[in-house]
Amino acid sequence: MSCSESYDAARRPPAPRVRAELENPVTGRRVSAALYLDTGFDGTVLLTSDLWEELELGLVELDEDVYALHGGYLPVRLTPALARVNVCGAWSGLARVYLHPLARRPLLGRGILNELYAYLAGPEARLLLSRSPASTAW
Amino acid sequence: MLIMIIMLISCVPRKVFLRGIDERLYAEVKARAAILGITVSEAVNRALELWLRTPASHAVEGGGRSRRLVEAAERLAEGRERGVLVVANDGELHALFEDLEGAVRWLRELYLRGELRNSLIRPLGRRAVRYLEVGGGVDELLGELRRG
Repeated sequence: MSCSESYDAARRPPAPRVRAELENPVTGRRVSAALYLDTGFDGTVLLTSDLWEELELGLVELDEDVYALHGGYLPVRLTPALARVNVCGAWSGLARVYLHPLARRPLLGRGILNELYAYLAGPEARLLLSRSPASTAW
Repeated sequence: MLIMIIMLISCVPRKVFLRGIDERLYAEVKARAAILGITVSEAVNRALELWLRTPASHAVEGGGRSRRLVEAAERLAEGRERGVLVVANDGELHALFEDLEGAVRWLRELYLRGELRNSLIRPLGRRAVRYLEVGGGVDELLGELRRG
């Protein structure tokens, strides 16, 4: 499975993002969100408060101590929970996702990206994601 | 006890007097603000913004992760090293599973029967603090902190 998505042209410079379906595994509540690719993020998916509330993830919180480190310092406590994540059909599964109280945009980190092939066609402002190298355009 | 003056950053900054600020906490805030190159007032404003943005379920006791849930999880996890412990309904219900999928299935059954009020999932074993580097967010966050 693979998918191709346009960069967010509203950001300067434009940023690669991908559509993902997020689901609360207990209530079945679903939300579709554009996740920004962040190869500098160690985790899977970082969520904003709005998305967290919409998905009612308080019901599937994990009792774990997790902190976000920004630029190697400035720790911010994260709230981990479980969610079913489907990244444009290229990756799906039950994953630890994290609420960051200061985040304004949801992020997709290496926790999932490292299981995918990602091709950044910068000049065309397009992102290609795939499970295998053969099914992509490059 | 400390009396603190906050210059609220809005159109017209104003002074607010607060009693009962913890002195140790204040010293820590002052030190961190100095590291970040911001004033204490700015740091307090950002902290208040952060609190306001925190989901309501986390901002008040008795929400998603209530104290009773955490205490029950703490008690029940003692001496157990493997699997996943799930505590629900302020500790009235609990169960042990081999993996997270099992834990989710049990919670979903409770939810579908209309019997789930709150829950906490605790992977068992050695408890460790994890730090996750966030790359893309740093400029945005520091920009936010230095705004004003």
